[in-house]
Amino acid sequence: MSTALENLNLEEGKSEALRAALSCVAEASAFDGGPRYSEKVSRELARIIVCRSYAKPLLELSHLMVCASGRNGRFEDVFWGISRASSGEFRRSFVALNGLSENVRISANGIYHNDGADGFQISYARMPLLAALLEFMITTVGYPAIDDMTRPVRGQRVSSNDVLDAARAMQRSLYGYLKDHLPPVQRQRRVRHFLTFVGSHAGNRSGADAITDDIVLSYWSEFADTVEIEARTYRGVYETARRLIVTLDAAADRLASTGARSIGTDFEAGEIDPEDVEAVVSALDAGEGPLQRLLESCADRVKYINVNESEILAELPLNDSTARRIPISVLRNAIYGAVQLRLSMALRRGDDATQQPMPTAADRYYRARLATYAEVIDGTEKLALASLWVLHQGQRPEAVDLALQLAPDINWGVLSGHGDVAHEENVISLAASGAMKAFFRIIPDARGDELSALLADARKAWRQVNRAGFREESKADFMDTMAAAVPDVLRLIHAVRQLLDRDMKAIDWPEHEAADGIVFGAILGRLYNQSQEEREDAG
Amino acid sequence: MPADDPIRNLALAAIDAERQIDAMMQPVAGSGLLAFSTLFRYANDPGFELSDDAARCLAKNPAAMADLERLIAQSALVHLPTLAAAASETLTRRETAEAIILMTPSRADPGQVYLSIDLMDAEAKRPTHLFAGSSGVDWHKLVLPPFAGPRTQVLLEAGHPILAALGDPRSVVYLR
Repeated sequence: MSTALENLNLEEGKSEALRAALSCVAEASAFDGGPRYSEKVSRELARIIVCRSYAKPLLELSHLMVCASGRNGRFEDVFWGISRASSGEFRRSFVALNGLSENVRISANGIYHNDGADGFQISYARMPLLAALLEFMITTVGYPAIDDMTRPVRGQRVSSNDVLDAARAMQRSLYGYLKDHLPPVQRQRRVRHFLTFVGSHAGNRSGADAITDDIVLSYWSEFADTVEIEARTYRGVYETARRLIVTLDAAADRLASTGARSIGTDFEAGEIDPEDVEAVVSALDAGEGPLQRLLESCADRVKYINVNESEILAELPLNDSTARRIPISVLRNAIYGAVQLRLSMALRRGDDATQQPMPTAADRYYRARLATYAEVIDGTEKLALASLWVLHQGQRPEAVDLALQLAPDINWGVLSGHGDVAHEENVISLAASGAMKAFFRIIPDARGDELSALLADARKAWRQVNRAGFREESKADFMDTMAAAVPDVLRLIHAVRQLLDRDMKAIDWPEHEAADGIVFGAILGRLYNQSQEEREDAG
Repeated sequence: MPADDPIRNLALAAIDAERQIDAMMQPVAGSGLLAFSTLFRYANDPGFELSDDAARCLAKNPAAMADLERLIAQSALVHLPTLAAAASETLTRRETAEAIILMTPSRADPGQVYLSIDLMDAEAKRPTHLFAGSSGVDWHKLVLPPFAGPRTQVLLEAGHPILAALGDPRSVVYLR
């Protein structure tokens, strides 16, 4: 027994070192004390380490180190001479090095290493992750070791095989480190239990198709108060279902696109391709969703969305097929997941859980929640309209993208003087014809033509907003952030509207409000009256 | 869905891995590690000093010390190696073909010492800071005043740790 305990402690100690190394990279500071790597990059790094899918990134890193050291054999200045590891900073670094090495070509999107074979391309967007990987390698294997491993390929013309040798040396050293420090994954029993239940109730459906609203509710009803498995909260069951939908869809896509087939079930034994696992895990990454991307790009500076609104929209699965596959469960989770949370908290506080209010059909609670989502996104769209005015005044090209999305029916051809030509390739024809300049000359006029009226609406919307990033005095300071967030805010608006219109509209919500009131009332009553009685008996 | 279904197995492997990623992403306080970004800045930015915590962390972490030593040695403009003098002897002059370092007590104030550095090549790139120390032990950094021609000079308190490091024949000196 003591040996098992000692082994457990030993294992924990080893993984603790790996956790500390990842934490060290995640907490590395930029020159101003802020984070050097974004949360997204830190998570991507953890993903390729845990999934052991580092072979390709290390090859990319080796090529990048060759390119970065083209001038004097030293790669460090490109990686750490910059404050934040962002694609923009890497772009600036490489542009400054342009022409210093005949084997490296710099373009608008990335760099190209002429290795005498097919050549190797790395985008600027990829470089922050590769920089984090290099910092992780140095933290775990040591700078002298990395310096020695990569010296043969730095500061000179090298072949693709030379670069591959350097990459393999780094792969071997990382493999050795992870062999000692990465513990085996824990098999998630709850997920497997749920999937077995799905399998036995799915009829002839398979994959994510087998997971339905009825199955999610049936599973919770059957196991919420058993000791067989932890399934007490509806929210927990919903999350399990959602994660399975995302991963089953992503796994099906991945295997269809690569044509690969795993040779078994044991990931540790190498029976499943690490790159396949990493690709599917990335589908689970909440950071890729439109809401999270908008929050990351501008939340603290330009409030396209505030904390309360983001909490409301966070109830919606915007980046996967959950809402299409189990739309009723999405709203059940939003309403009854929250009700159950309140009941649990009341019980924990010692309050009488049976006195907590329950939604009733008269509240039209599902429809009211849908109306709330629509209201929030209407507000976001109004803020996007307000930012059109700011960006138009600043003559930012993003204003054109924004206007095209907010008013797609406007005849943009009038700007280029070609009449009604704007329906195909709007952006290109505007930019190419110099119509952008004409767009920035438009004067807002509510009674003018469509574009003048749109700008008048935008100005009016801006005057009505009183939020961070939208005030007169801070307009200039936040212009860059606002402009950079335009694609993200448009993506969010589109995703929420699509979910509400495509996935939620055709459902008979009044019927579900009536039926679910009875079903949830019974199950929650069973769970919490019982707990209440047990408490009273104990008291 | 049969147990050997490849889609099912890949999905489950991904969910297991995701849980482990969450566990691995938990922040670790007081890990004793020092980010390489910090070491790089310390070695290359004359005006950047380590915080007290970071300095303590460095002193306790041989791997970070080895990283720093390699960083300092990389791209140094001048390297003055250890000397074969007796360990007890305190040096007042170090010399290579590239530079001469002199430590001269002030005549006006015996509690102060002039540290002067002369570059042999008048065209050589001027260093901005100096590191002195012994492998695996401790490194001291001094920001140098601008060179006037091939020479720079700075007045230091006699007890300044950089003087002790420069005077120790076992220590190595890098001008960067």
